[in-house]
Amino acid sequence: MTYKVLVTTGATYPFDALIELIFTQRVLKKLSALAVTDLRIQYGSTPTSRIAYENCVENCFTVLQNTGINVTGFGITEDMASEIRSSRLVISHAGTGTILDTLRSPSPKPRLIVVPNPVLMHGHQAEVAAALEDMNCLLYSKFATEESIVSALDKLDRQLTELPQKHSLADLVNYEAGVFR
Amino acid sequence: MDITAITIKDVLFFLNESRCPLLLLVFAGATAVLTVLGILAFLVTALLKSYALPPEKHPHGASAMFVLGSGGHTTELLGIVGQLDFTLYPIRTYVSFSGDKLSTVRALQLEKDKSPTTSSSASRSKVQTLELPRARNVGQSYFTSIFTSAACGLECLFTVVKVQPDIVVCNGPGSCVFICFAALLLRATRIKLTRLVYIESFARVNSLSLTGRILIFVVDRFIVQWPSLSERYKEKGVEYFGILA
Repeated sequence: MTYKVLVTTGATYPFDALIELIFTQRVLKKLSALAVTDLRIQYGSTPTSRIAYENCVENCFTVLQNTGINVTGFGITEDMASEIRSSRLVISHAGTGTILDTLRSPSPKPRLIVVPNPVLMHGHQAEVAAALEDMNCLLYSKFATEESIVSALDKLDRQLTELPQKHSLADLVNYEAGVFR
Repeated sequence: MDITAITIKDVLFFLNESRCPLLLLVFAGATAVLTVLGILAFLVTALLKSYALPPEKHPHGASAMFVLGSGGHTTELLGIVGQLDFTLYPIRTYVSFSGDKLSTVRALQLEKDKSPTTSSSASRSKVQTLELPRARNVGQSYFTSIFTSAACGLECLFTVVKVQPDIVVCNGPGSCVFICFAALLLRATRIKLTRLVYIESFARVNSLSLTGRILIFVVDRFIVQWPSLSERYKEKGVEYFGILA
């Protein structure tokens, strides 16, 4: 059975640290223990991120061969939703779009681990991730460190809460526009 | 001389006799300033009164303007637009800002997905997508952004006056402020009692965006998506129903 893990770094800001983190011995060993078969990396739109990704794959060549994990990568895609749907685990930068796509994807939903980009730590992305962790909707790795991400991977079996249904604003807009069914 | 006994006639006589054009100018200037202030006061009063009015009824359908902010803002807004029954909104205008082709494409995609392929329903709807100049590009200097903002503001004003929407739905960032202010002019002049709905982004958990902090004073409905925000700005009349994204 395939076990696909999707790693996203976002389209706007490079997050090479996350790619490098995934390709550390410790994290790869952990993924291999989870019986991961496919590792799909979204490395971002900048050429430097592509090089960072390629270097990682090259450096880990033997380890990857031993663990049998098949690694593929891409820069950005129009259709992230289907990438997410075919995954069992998404390790994501804290992009709101990816978070929502994952939490709103049809069952079986992939698990979600969010690692906020430290460069954007004071932005609002991390706030969303932290708030959703408070609601127990996702696993949150506060720091982009081996320690932090491995401890998040250890919690993969934890029972998570569904994100509440999306509320419709149609009635409010209809009222304001003065139109009725 | 008794100063209380001076009449307008005396003033005019004095101005005429003294042959002082400067005084005449001052007199004319003061009149002009007072007139402008009067009109402004009238408009502001009319605008303030408009907030107490209930929404106008449009049993035959309304004209709606959706302001697409790009990226995640567009995703969230189109999600809300997608929930609407389009037969209630026969006139739909999607506004986006230059350099953001994708929002227009996505709006048209939504239109295509929502409306059945029958030509009869298509002819009853008037769908329009407009791309206006942007107020400020990323990294643009503050000095030049004065001019680009003015251009954006004017274009927004023309657009709103031309379309005269019954309702404007927006969720930021930046440029939608101009659309809302232009709509306020429609309201103050009673050309149209355009209603304004602003939805703060799902990404704002603890604090309002700059756009939100400006628009909270002018919109009819201000909706947030996190309880912490609703708690913090309760006195300002923000509303919270749950997650909308």
